Amino acid sequence: MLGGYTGKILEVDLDSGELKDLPLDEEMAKMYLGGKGLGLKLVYDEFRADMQPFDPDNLLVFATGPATGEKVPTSGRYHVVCSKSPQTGTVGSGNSGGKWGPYLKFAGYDAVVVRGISKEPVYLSIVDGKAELVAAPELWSMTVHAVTDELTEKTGNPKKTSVACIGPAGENLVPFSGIMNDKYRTAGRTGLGAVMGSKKLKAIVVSGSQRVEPANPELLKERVAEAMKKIKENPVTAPDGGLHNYGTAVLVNIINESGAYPTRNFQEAYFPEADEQSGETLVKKYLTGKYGCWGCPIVCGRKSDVPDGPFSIRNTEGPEYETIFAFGSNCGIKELDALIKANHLCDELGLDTITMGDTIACAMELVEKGRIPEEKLHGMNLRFGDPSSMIEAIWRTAYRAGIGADLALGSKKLAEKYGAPELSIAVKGMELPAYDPRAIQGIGLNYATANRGGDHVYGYMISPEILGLPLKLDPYAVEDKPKWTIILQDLTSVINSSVVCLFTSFALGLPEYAGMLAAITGFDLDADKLLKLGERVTNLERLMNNMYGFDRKEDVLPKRLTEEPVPAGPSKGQISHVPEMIDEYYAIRSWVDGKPTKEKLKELGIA
Amino acid sequence: MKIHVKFLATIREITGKPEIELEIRPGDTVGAALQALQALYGPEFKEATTGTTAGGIPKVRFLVNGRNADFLEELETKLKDGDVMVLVPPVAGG
Repeated sequence: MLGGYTGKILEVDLDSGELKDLPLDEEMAKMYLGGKGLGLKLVYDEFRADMQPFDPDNLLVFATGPATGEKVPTSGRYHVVCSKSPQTGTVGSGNSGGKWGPYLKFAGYDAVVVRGISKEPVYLSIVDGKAELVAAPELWSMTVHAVTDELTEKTGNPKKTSVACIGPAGENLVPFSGIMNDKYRTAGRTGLGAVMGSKKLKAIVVSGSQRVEPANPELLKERVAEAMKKIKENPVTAPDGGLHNYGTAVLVNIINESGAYPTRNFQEAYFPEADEQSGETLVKKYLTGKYGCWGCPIVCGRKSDVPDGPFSIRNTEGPEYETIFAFGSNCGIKELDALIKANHLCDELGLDTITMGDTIACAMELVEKGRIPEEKLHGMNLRFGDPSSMIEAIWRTAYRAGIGADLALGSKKLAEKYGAPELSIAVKGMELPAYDPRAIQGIGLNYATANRGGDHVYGYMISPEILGLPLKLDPYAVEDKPKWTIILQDLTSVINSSVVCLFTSFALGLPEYAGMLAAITGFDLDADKLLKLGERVTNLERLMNNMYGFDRKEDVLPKRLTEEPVPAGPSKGQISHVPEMIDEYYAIRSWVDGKPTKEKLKELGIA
Repeated sequence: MKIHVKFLATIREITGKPEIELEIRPGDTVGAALQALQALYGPEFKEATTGTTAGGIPKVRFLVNGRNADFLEELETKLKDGDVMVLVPPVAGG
């Protein structure tokens, strides 16, 4: 077998209850590597342009890559792909840390493909190479933490067990519900939790100890040593560096002072109270420890405790920068303890924090502008700056209770329903993350062109534009943005197919990734070949979206960001220039109106 | 004239304050303001705001009214009354 792979994919048919082992195709592994690439290819091979999100053959693929579970930094992640997202209508895609990825590998499989719909709630157990579906109606309606505790005990080896599951939000088909693992980690975006819920699959429990050998262990050791040196020297990823000491929350002040911290549904881009919800304040007031995913030397996760007060929540994890923005500045809310509580609630219920926060923000603006009548709120003060209403809105959404039924539509359909579609700040129906693109041009171009919707990690242009890594780009400029957006997007496709953590890219580049992957798999890989593989993955995803009807007309930002200048603060007067950059982006990609040409597809070996 | 100076992350740990008002002279640059701060806060602060890290990354970036000084005139960027200058160590992503 190839180095880094178990060589087996588990096929799960929930209609018949049948489980099958399929061999991993070596050619497929060479072309798509694993993780996202493998997931996309498996979906593509059964693609149907008229797929609906809750059709039985909406495939749900959980995939590791050759780096998963190897002695490689940040090898604890996995990727999830589904044929059709209930949120966006594009291919669905999400990525998560914790330890579920390695334990799927140690349980004997590179990937799991789930098809069909179970008649009653079940969970899938994969322990030491043995897979079985277990009827579990008693688990349905349990929250994420409760069901995780329950199932972790069942394998008899809790320390070497990991549980991926959905919460009540996924069961209730909320289109932005996520798949959770290890309680606090999530493949959060594009509504993968709802697809799992539609299949009546509550959880996948993995446990095992079958390590997979790399093709060239000695060479891998050398290359990992070189990569680790770079990671340890880089001030973002170092053992005493920014991410370790402050978590992603350290971005709050940096982005706010750059005039790019979205405030009150992206009406503004500077939040005067930002420091109250910053990484610095989190350390001072609520931080009790740090959490690292399996195999990670960076350890950016936060452990927090709010011992008392109206938003008390004991011994939880998080919050991340995105969550702080979504429930904080974007809702006009400054109280950090309320944001920690909101984060915990989303983890328990299984909800994407970015979309949940942004949808609440959209609702708040709809209320303030008189679009949602008071009677609909049944007493909730759903207005900017009210933390207790924000928190109430979260559980109401998961259970579709009262106004929660409207919030569960997501901001796009919510705003349309109440006659103000322009107040949804989303791309392809997925709400925007924590960087105002009026102040940072490249991240705006990335938001508009990311295949799965408004997504910051797809091609993290913040790295060059704000952090100066791997090179310095002026956030206000449009020059070179298309070129670098494309490079980062294809690099991220590589990272998501390997599977390692995006955060290694602050310190490492394509030569380091190619070096390690070549040593693991034995494939002929260098920096150029690896980037080409990434380009293939990005284009395959784009091709399927084209076949769903997506093209240039969806590669756009909301008008608020391209036509309404930032009203105040450091970036006053700025707008997004995505319309001026998109043609160059397509030209470099060899896409016409957002579609890869036949020649490009042929060049990449996509049929 | 006065400018607002803000300190983030590890630099804030050294100064002990999130922000101060700094008295400067007309025509003073970012470089001059930095020297004044280094004199005020001593050797640990000076070490944290001079040069690059082991990996060759500048130890501090300056935002002037939200703009990265690297895209203005770097240390020669001129300051005026009421400007906001933020000292940002290379710490972040997410």
